[in-house]
Amino acid sequence: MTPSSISEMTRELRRRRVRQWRGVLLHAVLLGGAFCMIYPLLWMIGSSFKPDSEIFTQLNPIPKSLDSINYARGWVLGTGVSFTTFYINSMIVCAGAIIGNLISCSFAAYAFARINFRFRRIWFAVMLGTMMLPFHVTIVPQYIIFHTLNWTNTFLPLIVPKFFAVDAFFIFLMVQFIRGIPVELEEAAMIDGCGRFGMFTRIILPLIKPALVTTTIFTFIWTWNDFFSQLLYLNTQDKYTISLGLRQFLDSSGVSSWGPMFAMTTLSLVPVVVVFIFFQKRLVDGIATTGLKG
Amino acid sequence: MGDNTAGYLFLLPWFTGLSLFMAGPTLVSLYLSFTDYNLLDTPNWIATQNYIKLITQDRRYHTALRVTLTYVMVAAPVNLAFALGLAMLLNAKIAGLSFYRAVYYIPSLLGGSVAVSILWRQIFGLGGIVSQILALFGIEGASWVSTPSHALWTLIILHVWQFGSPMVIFLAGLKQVPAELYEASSIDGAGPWRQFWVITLPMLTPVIFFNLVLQIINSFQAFTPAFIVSGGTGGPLDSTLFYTLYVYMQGFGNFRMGYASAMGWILLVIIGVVTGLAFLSSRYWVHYDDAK
Amino acid sequence: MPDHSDGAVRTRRRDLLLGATSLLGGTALFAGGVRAEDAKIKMRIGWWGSDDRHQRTLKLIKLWESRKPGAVMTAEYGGLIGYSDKISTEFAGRNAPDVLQISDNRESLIAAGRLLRLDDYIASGQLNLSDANRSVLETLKVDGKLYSIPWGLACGCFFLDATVFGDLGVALPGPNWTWDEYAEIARKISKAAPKGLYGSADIWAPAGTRAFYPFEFFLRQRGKTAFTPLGKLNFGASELTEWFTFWDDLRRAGAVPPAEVTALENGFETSPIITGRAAMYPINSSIASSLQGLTKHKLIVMPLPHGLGSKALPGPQYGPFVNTNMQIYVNADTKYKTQAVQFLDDITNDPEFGKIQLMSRGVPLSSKIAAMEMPDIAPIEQSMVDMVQFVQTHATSQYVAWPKSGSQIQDLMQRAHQEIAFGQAKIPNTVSKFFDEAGLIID
Repeated sequence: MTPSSISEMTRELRRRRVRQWRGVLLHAVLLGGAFCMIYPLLWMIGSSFKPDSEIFTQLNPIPKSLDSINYARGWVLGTGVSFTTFYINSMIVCAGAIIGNLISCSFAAYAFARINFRFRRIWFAVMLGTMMLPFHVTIVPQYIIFHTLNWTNTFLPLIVPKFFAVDAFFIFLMVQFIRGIPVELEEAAMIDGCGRFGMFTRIILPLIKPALVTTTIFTFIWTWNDFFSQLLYLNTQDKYTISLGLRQFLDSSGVSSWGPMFAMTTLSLVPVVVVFIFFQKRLVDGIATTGLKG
Repeated sequence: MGDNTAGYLFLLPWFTGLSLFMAGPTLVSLYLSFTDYNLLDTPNWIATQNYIKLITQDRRYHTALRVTLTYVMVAAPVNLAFALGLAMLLNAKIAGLSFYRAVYYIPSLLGGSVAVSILWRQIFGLGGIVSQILALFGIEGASWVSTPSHALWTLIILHVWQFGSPMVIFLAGLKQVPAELYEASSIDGAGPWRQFWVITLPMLTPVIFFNLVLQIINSFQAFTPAFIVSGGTGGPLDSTLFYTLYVYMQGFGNFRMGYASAMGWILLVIIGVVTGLAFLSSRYWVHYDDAK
Repeated sequence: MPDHSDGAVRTRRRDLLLGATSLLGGTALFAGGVRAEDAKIKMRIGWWGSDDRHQRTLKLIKLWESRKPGAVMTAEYGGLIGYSDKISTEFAGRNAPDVLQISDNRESLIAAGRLLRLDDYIASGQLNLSDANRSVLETLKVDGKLYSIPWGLACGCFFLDATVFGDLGVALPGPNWTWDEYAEIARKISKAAPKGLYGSADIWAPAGTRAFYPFEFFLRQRGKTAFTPLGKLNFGASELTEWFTFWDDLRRAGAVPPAEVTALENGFETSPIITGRAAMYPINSSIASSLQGLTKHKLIVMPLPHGLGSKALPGPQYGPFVNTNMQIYVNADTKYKTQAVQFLDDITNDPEFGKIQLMSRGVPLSSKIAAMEMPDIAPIEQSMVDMVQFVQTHATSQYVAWPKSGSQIQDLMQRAHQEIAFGQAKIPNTVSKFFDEAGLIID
């Protein structure tokens, strides 16, 4: 063994040790960050086990005793309405919105990203423009439209528009992803006699899977948490969704039930976290296998 | 099938939605911005009076503009930087990836929850957690959330803390970068730092651009954080009076919907100009693969 | 036409439901039969609140429906957040409920003719308000006409933490206390208490609406009103300066907390009396039982101090008046005016309705019903009833209703208080700015 190869070995060892330390450091930083991120959740879960009189007087997030009464009191309200109804309703609205957004936004995005039709730039600007007006100033005219259609107190105002690509956010997202795909693939397919629609369904859609997954996650979470439009269009308790149910516990001039509110907020996060974990896995094994580009 | 026919066919759902649900209310609000509409009576045409009043007289409106601009200029870039940084870290192959991703996304799930309003007071309030931690180092804390000079900054922190959505979009974008590119450049002897600059960043520019535009639009329209944390008042002393919060107060609180509409349209123009500038700049730094 | 005889007309099914509530004491008779005009009734009722109030209101509706077989009253209820925005949008779209609780912007709705005027129904006896206090009804009138009835009376008041008073050996005041006595007590508590506990909470709060009524009470004690009948301000710089100075002195003396402590409040749950930072807390009395539910300390309800300085002034110079934010209205567009008014009458006068509601929305308007409920309620609610009755028997002077811009003036007041409290402006500057901006709003 020559001296140089020994020094090579020690250098290699040192490098490995540095790498190990770097890994430990990385995890320490990530875990520290994770604690800051998750602290509010822990605090909320802690509060959900506290009686109302402790929530505001005790800063310590850890409850004195584990009492699940808030969960029982929260799930079935005194009025007999239960969160089972709210969960089902929220699921219906979310499912409708997801399907609507996936279909309609991908169509529009394909046109904006790939087809060179007349006035494309103008319509694209209009599409972005629809995101720029604060929604408060269009609420009233919108309400009048849905009232005229006799759609109040139904899920229709919350679902039907999604089938007509009203969420410009997702169109724009998909446009950006489609524009990241090289056109050569479609040119080749065109030579093979593939039509527009075939190119869209067979080439584009599989390739923008990460964007479709993102759309699914966001539509689910935002619809699940959306408050104002659901409040506006749903009137009776049999139509109420989770986010309306959660606000029901609070009353600035009467008996608020904070404990049950925290308990139900905690439970309402379960589906969202599950959906997120499930779909973000799809994000991970998404595209790596398709081997395009380059 | 010609490009025009195909284009408009694919856009048919969007056009339908635009004309059925969006165009009407939008044009109505434009019209109302020139009236004294109060939600209940027939609107009267008052020409540009709302706009003139906003620009020349309304001091609270000017406060709202200032608060919002500060918020946009600080919160949006910092949020994006965090999102991109974490996305890069969480795109690597490290143990517990799914766990970290979910945990870092959790604050974004809590977004509009009423729980946040109480939480923020318990963290940044008098004797809150931040004060307690600072006390360990002998620094005297303050009640940041309720002091006019600091309240906005606690909301900026709230926004930065909720970087989950752009992070997920960055992650999706990173997934689209083909592994072959990295392999090829590894053979050429490029280190990770160089790979980041030469491959990752350029390939990611469409997504960075997307997130940038979205951050601009969303932070100009930020409503929920101030509504929740200040209890809808924009306080203390209007220090968190966000633009859209003021639109809401005037429109629904005071029934001055014509006035609120005028504010809405000014905001549309502001966002439009800023977004337009972003699009102009994108020619120089955003890299699309469809460029012919 | 009101027909009280169908009070006896009930169906078996309804009886079972009501029996389950065991609140009705099984007085029901079965008489069967659906009257054609009742079967056509499809009304909507809207309110906000929390679970307890929802339960009680749903029972009221069931009782009402049971008396009109076939009639349907659809309940549209939820929490407070967003309620008034929803109602406003529904009014704009001409789709608001037939009967509803409104807390904000009633002046605008009345001015636009969207709420039913009740005077004719009172005159014809369909709405019986003979057991209500006159002065209370006077304060609800707009231009001399009545559009609402209180669904429970309440009043701006002080909550006192009797436990803290006891621990520190400070004597509790009586309902005749004056502003000077109040200030004296606040100072005394701050001095005796450990650091961080103040005598009283400040008069403004970021999310509260309590900044204006106390000032209005204060003005009335000086023979003024807040507004003229034409909607102009009816007070001058001297009154406003006196008011701001009174609070600024207390703040400087440490009798009320500094601004950043006051600004921490975000609803009464986080108010200083709950977080242990103040022994007295000004707010509307309707929250009595929920406030008590948040603390183990014993709370009592006290009317706002009165008098000019140390002089207690009786009669017309008595400042406080009963002002309730729980009012019920009839939509002027409703197809069922008679039935809606009858519902109002039932919740006001019918003992069966009273037994269901108790104090869930405040003290009942009818003194007979209030007296009937007294044995069934908690100590804090009894204290609340005492206070409201004290105020309604003492308040005699003419009340002038707020104009449409009233709530904007209240916001302005709130911000003026904050400016001084945070030390961003001197009192004379704030006062002159207040009148400048009020001028812009009122024009």
